[in-house]
Amino acid sequence: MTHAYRPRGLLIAAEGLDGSGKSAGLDALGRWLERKGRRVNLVTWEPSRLVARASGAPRGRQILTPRVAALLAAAEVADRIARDVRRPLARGDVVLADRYAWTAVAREVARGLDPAWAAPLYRFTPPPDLVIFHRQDPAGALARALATRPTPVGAEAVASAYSAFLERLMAAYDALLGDPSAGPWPVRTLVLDPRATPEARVAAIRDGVRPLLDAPNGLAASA
Amino acid sequence: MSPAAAATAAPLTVPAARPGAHGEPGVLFVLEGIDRSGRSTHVRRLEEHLRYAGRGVTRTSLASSLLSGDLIRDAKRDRHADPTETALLYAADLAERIEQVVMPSLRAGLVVIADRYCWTPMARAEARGVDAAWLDALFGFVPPPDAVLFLDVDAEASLARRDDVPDPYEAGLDLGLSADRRESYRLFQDRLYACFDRYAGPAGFTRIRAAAAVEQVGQRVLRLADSVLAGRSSSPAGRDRGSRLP
Repeated sequence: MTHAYRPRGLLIAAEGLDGSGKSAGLDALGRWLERKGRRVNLVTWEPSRLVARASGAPRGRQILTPRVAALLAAAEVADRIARDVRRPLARGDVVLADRYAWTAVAREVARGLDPAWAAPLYRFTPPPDLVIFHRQDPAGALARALATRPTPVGAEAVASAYSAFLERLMAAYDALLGDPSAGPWPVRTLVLDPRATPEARVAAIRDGVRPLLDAPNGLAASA
Repeated sequence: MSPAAAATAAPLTVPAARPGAHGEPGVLFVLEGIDRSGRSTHVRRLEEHLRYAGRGVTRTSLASSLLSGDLIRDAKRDRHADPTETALLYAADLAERIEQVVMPSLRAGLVVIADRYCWTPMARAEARGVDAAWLDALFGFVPPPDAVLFLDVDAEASLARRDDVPDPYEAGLDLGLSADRRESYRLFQDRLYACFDRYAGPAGFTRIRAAAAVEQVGQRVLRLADSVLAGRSSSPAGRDRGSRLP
């Protein structure tokens, strides 16, 4: 038996509202980690197909409620997590998650579910080694959402409903940031200032991730 | 002494009743128990009994929801299904039936008989290694039943009641406990039984030793149901609402 160098799997999640710079930050981080010789997997948070199917059918629309939707979406996440997160982590890969459990919890809470139920619901997801939270004011997220997803009718009505939703979403994220025990698991967080330049953000993310790479359990025995 | 034997020593009483803890004028009965505990038979008999007594009855059973029923049946056929995912689908199934069937019926003052509730899915997941505390939190949304009738039949007795080869799901074949399907069934049902046995106290199950003759067990189920209904009709909540259907 030999001891080959095999790095510990690393899970880093980027969380925040639309247009807060999550994807750009992860892109830069992924390239940097690859240059350091790590294998990097990017997973994005997909909207639930089961919920979309249910709400697309007339009968399903009548009976779909926030709780049923939350559970169907979570079931789908459980399936995807096993494949896209647990497996690469077990191989020792880096997994970068563009939105993760915090987004799921914040959305369910913004839709009216009790945080004391919605947060533990996602305890089945592997806890990230780091959550990078991109602060963004709801007005910026709204402008971005309307620019990238133009709505054909009633843009103003949509905007006002969506901005109320964003406010609730932001409040839910704030609750998670303010009290680590309020989330699915206790987690190390890095909060990025919305006014920072892209270069400053990239540097801040690297500074946050570097100590995780040098963690003492970076060595694993392999046969 | 087996837990089943210990339970029979105690008289059959409804655990310090939380009358209408769900806050509605109707009454919710749950029957739980492992496979071949006689659940379906007693659900049917209880429904008949209540209908003859002039009660309006709604029945609901596992995986009968519109949005999750088929997904659960697919997962049960898949030996590699993730037990966490399956538990979440069962929770979605129960949530839909609670919102669409159970609560509207309880609001209308009907008697609801649930052929299994949250405890069967919890036991099935726990038997496959899913964290018990997480399952408890997951199913924390369910309204408390007026009585949970636990048909107490252990794995040996369950196996003795069948001379066929159990289907792969009932035998928990995916767990690889034994290559022999009847032996796998006994081991798997024993795990489920151990879970029920543990839920019994905290969840306030009423144990009905169900190894006895069907007639005898049936009488106990009906007597118990009648005593719960009698308790509820004299409760202030029942009088004030005044909305019970004949």
